[in-house]
Amino acid sequence: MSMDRLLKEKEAYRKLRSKLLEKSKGKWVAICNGEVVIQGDEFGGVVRGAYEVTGGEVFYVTKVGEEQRVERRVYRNR
Amino acid sequence: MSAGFTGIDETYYPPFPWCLVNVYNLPKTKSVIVKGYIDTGSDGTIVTTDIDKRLELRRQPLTLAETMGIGGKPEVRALYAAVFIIKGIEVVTAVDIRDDVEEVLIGRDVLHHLSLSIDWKKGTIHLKDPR
Repeated sequence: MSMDRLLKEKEAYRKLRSKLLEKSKGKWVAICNGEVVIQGDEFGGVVRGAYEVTGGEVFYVTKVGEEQRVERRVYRNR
Repeated sequence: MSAGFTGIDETYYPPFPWCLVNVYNLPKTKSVIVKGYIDTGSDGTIVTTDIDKRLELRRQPLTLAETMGIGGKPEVRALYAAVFIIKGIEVVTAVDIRDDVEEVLIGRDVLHHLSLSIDWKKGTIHLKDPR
């Protein structure tokens, strides 16, 4: 259920991305119900803020313009 | 960090440094204290399914990431919100929950918030707030 919601919010971000690149490039953003609910320079601050603003709903977090860099994990000890 | 809160596990070869870490869910209503292996080679932090069961981390997915081991096949996985506290330093991060690991691996997503010094010869680890 929460995964479906995450995918939906990610898709909403995809639609918002070109506008966000103009105004919020390099910012962390949280997307909930298809809208940006908070943005900022620190990942942790954005996650905490989004949790408070949404009351614990599922939201999607990424960094505008740096999605591929921040959505990648290489595990060397696995 | 005082003795007992850090160590070097010599059952691994080469030995693997660790520290005790407090892991919370995002609202900080549930927590566990676990041994976290200090994995400077990993981009991200990995927790076990047992920790997920105790903290219900899957309630708060944050993003989707392409994950892989070196030479391995990339896999898109959800990452979930967790709060790590090490030596009083609180770090919010997005962790991978895996059923194929038996220990917590603390990656650079958490470690880059800390000042870390490891002396393998003396068997000591110093962790502190860099500020």
